[in-house]
Order: sequence, then structure tokens, then C-alpha cells
Amino acid sequence: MKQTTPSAIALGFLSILLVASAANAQTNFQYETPKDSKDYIGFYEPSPDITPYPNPAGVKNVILLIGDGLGHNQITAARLVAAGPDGKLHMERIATASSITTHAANAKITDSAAAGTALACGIKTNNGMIGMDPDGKRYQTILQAAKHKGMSTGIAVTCEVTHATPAAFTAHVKSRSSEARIAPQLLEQTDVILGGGRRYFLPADAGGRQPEGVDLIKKAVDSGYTYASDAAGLNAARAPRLLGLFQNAALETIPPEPDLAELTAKAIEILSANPHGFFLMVEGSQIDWACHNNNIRQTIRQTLLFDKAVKVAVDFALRDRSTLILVTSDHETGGLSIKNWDPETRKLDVAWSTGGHTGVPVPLYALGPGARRFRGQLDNTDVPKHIAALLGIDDFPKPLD
Amino acid sequence: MKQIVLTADATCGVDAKVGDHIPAGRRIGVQTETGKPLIAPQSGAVSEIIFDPDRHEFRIVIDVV
Repeated sequence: MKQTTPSAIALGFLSILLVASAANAQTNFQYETPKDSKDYIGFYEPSPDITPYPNPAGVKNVILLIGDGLGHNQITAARLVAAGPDGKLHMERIATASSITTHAANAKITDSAAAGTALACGIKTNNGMIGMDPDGKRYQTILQAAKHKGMSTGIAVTCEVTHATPAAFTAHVKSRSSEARIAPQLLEQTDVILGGGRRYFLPADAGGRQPEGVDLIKKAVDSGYTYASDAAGLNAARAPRLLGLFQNAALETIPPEPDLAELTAKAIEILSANPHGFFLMVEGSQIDWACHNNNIRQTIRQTLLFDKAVKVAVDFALRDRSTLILVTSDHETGGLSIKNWDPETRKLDVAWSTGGHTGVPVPLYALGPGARRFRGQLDNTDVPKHIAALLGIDDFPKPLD
Repeated sequence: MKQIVLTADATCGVDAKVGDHIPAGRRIGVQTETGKPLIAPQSGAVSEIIFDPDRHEFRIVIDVV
């Protein structure tokens, strides 16, 4: 059989053949990636080395990277196309790998609000609820606990910064749709806020959704944030606090908008100035959206954009040697399965079982000091509990009411 | 042609696909805020299913028969 190098695979991506057929609610797709293309995933550099990254000791910083909707098979599909069957994504080079269960308090299939709350607060809640238990009792998030400890805090996402996952780390509301109420809470304890969703910070007369003429961007600047709305503003920002809102709605994830890896790098640059450490949550938000559309091409692209951000975080951790990196997901979306990958024809055959979420366990990769704590089959609520223990944060999960 | 548009929570997906004929009274998803079953109020053919990432919902367009 002809050998296919990772770089050749990464270059082969232009022509897409999608053949859909439906039987018993299963949709099959055939996906062809010819050898002479580089437009769609040309940004991605597969790792030439597939040996595990080393693990140092002593936790000062935590970077939690969440691929929304990311399951094992989304990772597999991205690996096959970008790095080949024998290659590895950057996240796959992390030696401590396990998986976490994801169910919500009221459903076997979680949404991002309940899963985000589990990953942030260490508690189960109902789908749709943010930062509180099913009875409405608010719980401190791991980001807020880190801030209380004197660490700097940040989020970097490709959705609106008020969307369910970032909201779960920064706010407490009964419904994930209350994004105008989530926005002011973001500014209370988060030093770096990067993503989309400008409209939730502006008043109605400026095209926004804040009630009573409130301009949260002006308020943020008045309280010491640097505000950036494009890549140049992001690059120039030097303040200890940064609000970067690059679209009115979600990010477009195409240039000249800064990509998630650039947002991650900037967040780390600013947050790492704190000698007491930092907590950063990074989300590849739009893997989920591609999977809801059963779009394997976008699923692969968004997974690779997320993996590029993982590499930025890992590179920092390897230099810093006191940073814990966690890469995980809130749930799998689409029920994706891999049917076949033919390296000669470059065809990836996949099937989707749903347009919704599924209840399968999702991957968890841990790198750095304390990584071994994340071995074995865990629940999503275990993740922030272990982070809290490693950071010396007592009394977690912690109700606020 | 009369159309109706229904919204379903994306978490649970849609129990129909484009081209399906849906009889009135059939469950086709879950309502976003309440979590209650989303029931087709009238019979018709599903002409579009659109994912709305902002609201994390599917908009289901049904051509009423």
C-alpha cells in the first residue's frame, strides 16, 4: 500500500464528496480529500514527533481546554485527514488520557449549560441552567475560586462569550438564554475575556441587547479593561485586563479575525504576568455546531483549530513547567462514527446517528503537574474538584447562597 | 402554501428529516425552555431543518398539507 505522509495528507483537502443516504435514522457520508489542495486546513501543522509530552511537578497555572461536542471520533476523523492514521493530533500526544461521563441532573443527554456547570462548579444541574444546582442554589465556579485565591482568570472562545460554556465558568443564571444578564457577571471576576458576542455588551440604541442604555464595554474600560475589537487591537493590548469582542455574534473563525490559538496565546501572555498564577478556560465552541449540522468537513476544521490552540497551551506549559493542561469536552455531538479511511483514495466514510448530542463518555487529556490525578474513568464533576485540590482550594464545590 | 415553523432544543436533535411527512400529533423533538415534547400541530412535509447556534435550537419548517 502506498505510504501517505502527514504533510501530504494535510495538503489534500479541496474536493469534498458528500453522499448522503438515510436509513434507520443513520446518515452516511463519504468524504474525499484529494492530494493537491491546501486551502481548508492549510493552517494546521501536524506534529512530526509523536512521543508523549513530559510531565513536570507543582501546579501554579491551569489551562482547561474544552472542545464543545468533541468526541473520540471527531478527534479520529481530524487525525486521519490532517496527520494520517499513524500520526497524532497535539492533544493526542498528551500521555495521561482518560474519559469522563457527562450526564445532567435531569437527563442522560446533557447540554452545554449543565455540562459546563459540572466542569466549572463540580455539581450536576439541569439542562439549560448555569452555575447553580437544580434548586437554583448558586455554586462558586473554579474560575471564581481561583480569582478568590489571588490568581488571574480568563476565557477565550469562538462563540459569544455569553454562550453556555463560558457562562458556566463566570455567571449564575437559571436559563442559558439570559445572555444579557450573563454579560455583566463576566466582568466581575474575569481578567481576560476573548471571543464574540459584542451585542450583549452594548445598549439597544447601539444595536445591542443590554437594557436601560447600559454600555458594558464603556463600563469595562472605565474599570481598567483594555478593549479590543480586531486583531490589531488584540496584539497591541498590554493591560492586565482585556476585553476582546471580535464579532457582534459568534466568531467567524476565518481571517483576518484572530483564531483561537492567537486568542489563547494572548490570554496566556497577559494572565501569566500574575506571580500567583492563573486559570484560563479555552473553548473550541463551533465543533458542536458543525456536528449539529452533520458537517464532517467543518467538524474536522473546527477540531483542528481547537488542536492548534491546544498546541499553544502545551508549548507554554512545557516552557513554564508549573502549568496543568486539561483537554476535554462537554459532550459528544452527532453520534459520529468512522466507517472507513482509505489513504490511497483519501476517502473518509463517516456516519452520524443524530443531529443532537449523545451520552457517550468524552476524552480527557491531562498534562503537567498533577496530571496523574486525572487517570481512570471520571465524571465531569470530578474535573474541577481535582483542579481545586491541586490548587489548594478548600471547600469545593462551594454553594454561594 | 402555508408553512409553520417550530423550534426544537438542539440537545435532543429532531425526530424527522427533510422530506418526511409528519402527521399532526407526532412528537418531533423537545421544546427548548420547558423540555416538554414538541408535537406537530398540523400535518405536513418537512421542507427545512436549520440549526441556530445562537439559540442552540433547530428551526423546523413544515409545509402544511
